[in-house]
Formats: sequence, C-alpha cells, structure tokens
Amino acid sequence: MPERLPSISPVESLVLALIESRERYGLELVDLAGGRLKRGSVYVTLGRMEAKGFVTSRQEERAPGAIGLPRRLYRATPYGLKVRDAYQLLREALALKPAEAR
Amino acid sequence: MIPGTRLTTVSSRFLRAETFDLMVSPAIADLQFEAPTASRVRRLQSYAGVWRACCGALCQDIALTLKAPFVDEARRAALQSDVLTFAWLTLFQVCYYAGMLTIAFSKWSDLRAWLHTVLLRTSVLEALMLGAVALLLPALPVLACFWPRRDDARTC
Repeated sequence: MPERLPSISPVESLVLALIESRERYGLELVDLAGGRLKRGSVYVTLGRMEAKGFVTSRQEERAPGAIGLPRRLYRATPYGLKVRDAYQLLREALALKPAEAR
Repeated sequence: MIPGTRLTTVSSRFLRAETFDLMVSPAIADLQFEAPTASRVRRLQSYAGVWRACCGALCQDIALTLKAPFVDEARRAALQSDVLTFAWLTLFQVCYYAGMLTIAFSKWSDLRAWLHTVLLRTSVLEALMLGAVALLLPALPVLACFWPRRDDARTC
C-alpha cells in the first residue's frame, strides 16, 4: 500500500507561521492569531501537528518550588515548514485560471 | 487547591499518557499560569478551553483505539478481550438488577401493577428507550471502573 502523503490544514499553516521564528506557548498563539485560533482547539491542533512531525515541543524549565503543571513551548520543524511551503505552492497552482497557465 | 487539579486527575485517568501530555496538560498548565491574575471571565474561558481540549483528546484517543485493531493483530486480540470483559461485567450487573426487580415484583404486587400500566401506556419507542436506560445504568459504572486499556506507544 502506498504511503499516505502528509496533509496540512489552513489552521496548521497559521500555527506554523506563528512559531516559525521562535518558540511560543499555546496561549501566546491564541493571542497572536487574533481570533483565528480558539483556546480549546489550539492544544488539540498542536498535539496532532506534533504527531505528524510538523512541530516539536518541550516543557519549560521551572524554578524550584514552582507549583502546577509545567507549560509547554512549541517550535516548527523543518519538515513542517517544508510541507507548508509545498502546499502553498500547490494552492497557488490550483488557483491559476486557464488563461494564466498558458 | 491549585486550579485544574481535579481536571488533571480525571483526564489523566481516562486519556492515554501521551495524549494527556500533548493536549490536555499544556491547557491546564496555561490555566494555572493565568489563574492568579485572570479575571473571572478569563478564568471561565480557560476552563472552557481545557474542557474542549479534553473532549478533543478523548475523541482522538477513541479514534486511535478503534483504528488500532485494523493495523495490528495484537491490538485486535486485546480489543476483543476488552470487549468481552466489558460485556461480561455489564451483563453481570444487568442480571443483578433484574434479580432484584424480580424479587421486588414478587413482594409488592402494587409495583408490578404500576409497571404494567406504565409499559402498556408507553409506545414501542418509549419502551425501547426504557430498555436502553436499563442497559445503560449498569454499563456506566462498568465504564467508569473498567476503561478499556490502551497502548501508550504511538505506532498507528
């Protein structure tokens, strides 16, 4: 059976754009996205993206005695950026009108 | 108590360790980070966000569990074993409740007459719904106590 091609949704592309240059927390992404990412769905999206290999994450380093769960920082992987760029090219190619393609 | 402690306990009980770490734990961590300075509205939004993350993670886990038997023979066998155990435990309770009701009916004829009247008055659909509830009531505690085991390795 042929291996399935990776797929990337517009929301995943947006997340990659936000964490392309630096590590960010999930909450930061929600604030930066200006309503295009929801608080509840961002972590599910990030979890799925990590499973696909599009992002990598690590737990923050914490001061001794800090309470609560450690927060998680996300960064885009070169693979994720490559898939996003490839899909961007594909979308642009598919958006061409017949006259423009000549 | 730190906000999100109960949510952590409940969700870590029902989710795969990896799903919890990747999807729910960051949401709870952000909730706890924000809690000291957040307004009441913002805190409610955080809680709603965590619940949505829990639901999404649970859906993902269920999808993985259902998909697993189609990709792995060992998981197929494990799922069959889980389904059988689940069915056995539920049936055991159904028999228990049925036995108790039988004893109750034989003791109190009024109760029997009341149930007879209720069943005769209801339509077939309502009777089916009553039957479904009678099955679900024993199934819920079994579900809470015996959650089908999951493989923590992400291979599917």
